[in-house]
Amino acid sequence: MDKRVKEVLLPNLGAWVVLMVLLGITAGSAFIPLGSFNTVINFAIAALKGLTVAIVFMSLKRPDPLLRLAAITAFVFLLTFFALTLADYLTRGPTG
Amino acid sequence: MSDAARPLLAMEALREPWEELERQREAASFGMWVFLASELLFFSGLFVSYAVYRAIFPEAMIAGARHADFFYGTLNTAILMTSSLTMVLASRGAEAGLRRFALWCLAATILLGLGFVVVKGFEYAKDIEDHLLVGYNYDLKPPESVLFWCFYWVSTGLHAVHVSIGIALIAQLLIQGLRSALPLQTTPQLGATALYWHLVDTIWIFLYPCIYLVGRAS
Repeated sequence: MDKRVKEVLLPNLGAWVVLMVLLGITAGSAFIPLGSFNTVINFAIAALKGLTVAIVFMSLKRPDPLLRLAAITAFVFLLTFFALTLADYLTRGPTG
Repeated sequence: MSDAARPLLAMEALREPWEELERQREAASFGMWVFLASELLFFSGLFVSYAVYRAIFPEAMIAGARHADFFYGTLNTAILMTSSLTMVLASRGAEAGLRRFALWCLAATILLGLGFVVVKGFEYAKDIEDHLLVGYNYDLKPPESVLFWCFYWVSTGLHAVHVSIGIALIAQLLIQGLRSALPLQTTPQLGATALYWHLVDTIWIFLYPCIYLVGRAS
């Protein structure tokens, strides 16, 4: 195989294998009764998969501060949105 | 084509107001990331509503989710993640000057994207047959489970629109690449389209546990 093709292929193929293994784990564990831990595992794995895509495929591992700043800003706004909304709905008492 | 002609050709890709290709590429990546941030917030409205409904009607949401098709959902997750691989290979291949390799990877990404849409079509057909289309023939009990299916149709529908836009953008890149002799990496479009495609994949990665993995063990 062309050396350049190999250089392009190998790291990304590695990330894809990680994604597929994580998909296998999350799909398999969904059928094991673990109570609320099923949800925890599923979303933890989704976060891991999302991070793998962002860091390897979306080039966040490249030392480009501008792109990292844009990505982190998006994440902070997302977190604020979730925190403010859930702080309301999850702390409401029983309604009559 | 001689090497001397290449830089001249590459300058054709330069647009106002940039003076060098490198700055243009940086600006395109940054602009795309800002757009992706807005896209993320756009979809997060749906995810927040999902979290709130799960908190208020846990039983009904789980009862609704049990009827989502696990096989089609998992298959589509694998297809979309593989298309992200071929997309990243296209953009990295172009950066390394592997033109033919990059064009083949773009074609593979289009095929995988179309595969995703076709599988989604089969899934939608099955959902409609199973009386799960809200406002048309929905008859699942308890009635609050309709909240799950509203989330399902709106989120997967919006996602499918994004996938279709992505396929069109990649197809345009492929046609452009086949027609012009311009080195693929000189225009910022390939990198920007790849970023968009990866975000569409990431959103699906989070939709998957929301829709297809709920209530399987209980």
